[in-house]
Amino acid sequence: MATASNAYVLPINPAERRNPGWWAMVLIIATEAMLFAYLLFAYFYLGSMANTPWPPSGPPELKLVVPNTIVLLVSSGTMWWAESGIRAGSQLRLRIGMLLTLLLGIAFLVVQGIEYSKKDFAMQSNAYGSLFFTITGFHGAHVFVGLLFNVVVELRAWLGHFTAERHLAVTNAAMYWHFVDIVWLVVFTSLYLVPHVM
Amino acid sequence: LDKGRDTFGTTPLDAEPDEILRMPEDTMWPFFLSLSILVICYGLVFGLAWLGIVGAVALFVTIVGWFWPRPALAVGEV
Repeated sequence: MATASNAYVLPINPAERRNPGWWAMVLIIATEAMLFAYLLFAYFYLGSMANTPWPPSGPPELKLVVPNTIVLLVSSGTMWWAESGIRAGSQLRLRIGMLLTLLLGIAFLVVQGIEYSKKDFAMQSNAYGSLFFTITGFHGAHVFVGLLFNVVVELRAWLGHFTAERHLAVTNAAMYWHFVDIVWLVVFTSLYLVPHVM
Repeated sequence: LDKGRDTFGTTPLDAEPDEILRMPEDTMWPFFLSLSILVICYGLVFGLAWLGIVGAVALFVTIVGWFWPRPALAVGEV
């Protein structure tokens, strides 16, 4: 038992370890990645079992989706720029970078909505339609959540909450956004590019 | 430990205390969060889209409110 003569002092909330919040985001990303893995498995499985052409109305058009993919890739770049900015202590880079990411993310969702309106099939048309809208819809929902995350972190950035030493929320927002981007690359390749080559 | 919501953090193998963790204070945010989820579910079950949207907005507000940083609880970051 510690007495007054041999009492020791413990640190309060020390900084030597990875923050639990960082681990929380890693686990969230792992869970969501599994969700997309299952959805894409279903897509390829049903495609391999289909007796009719897959996609039924031919390969999807790339006119809108290719520029949209570039928009999302650029948004990952601006997010990286913002995060590396606050790591270097630059509030301006953080604020502007996150604002650009937000605008590019909104543009992505708008273009995806336009693409949806031009489709000649619906979710209930057939299995392909169901999977197409489920997979891209789920991804769009993840982008929307990422934008909400971005808005809150942006607000905190403008309130001056972050420093070079303390910016976990920015790191988490960036990790989530890069995950959303990587998922889109896989979805884009599977749903849009593969039907053109196979 | 008798002056606030603090608890020990220990080493993983031997459970030796090696840090003090400052825990959050009492808060009503989780209750309001669950209420907003209730509102969303009510809207979904009865097909009231506007109610679902109201619940979703309330959900967002309660999550932000609950997780808004409090300097006294700052955990070390790496």
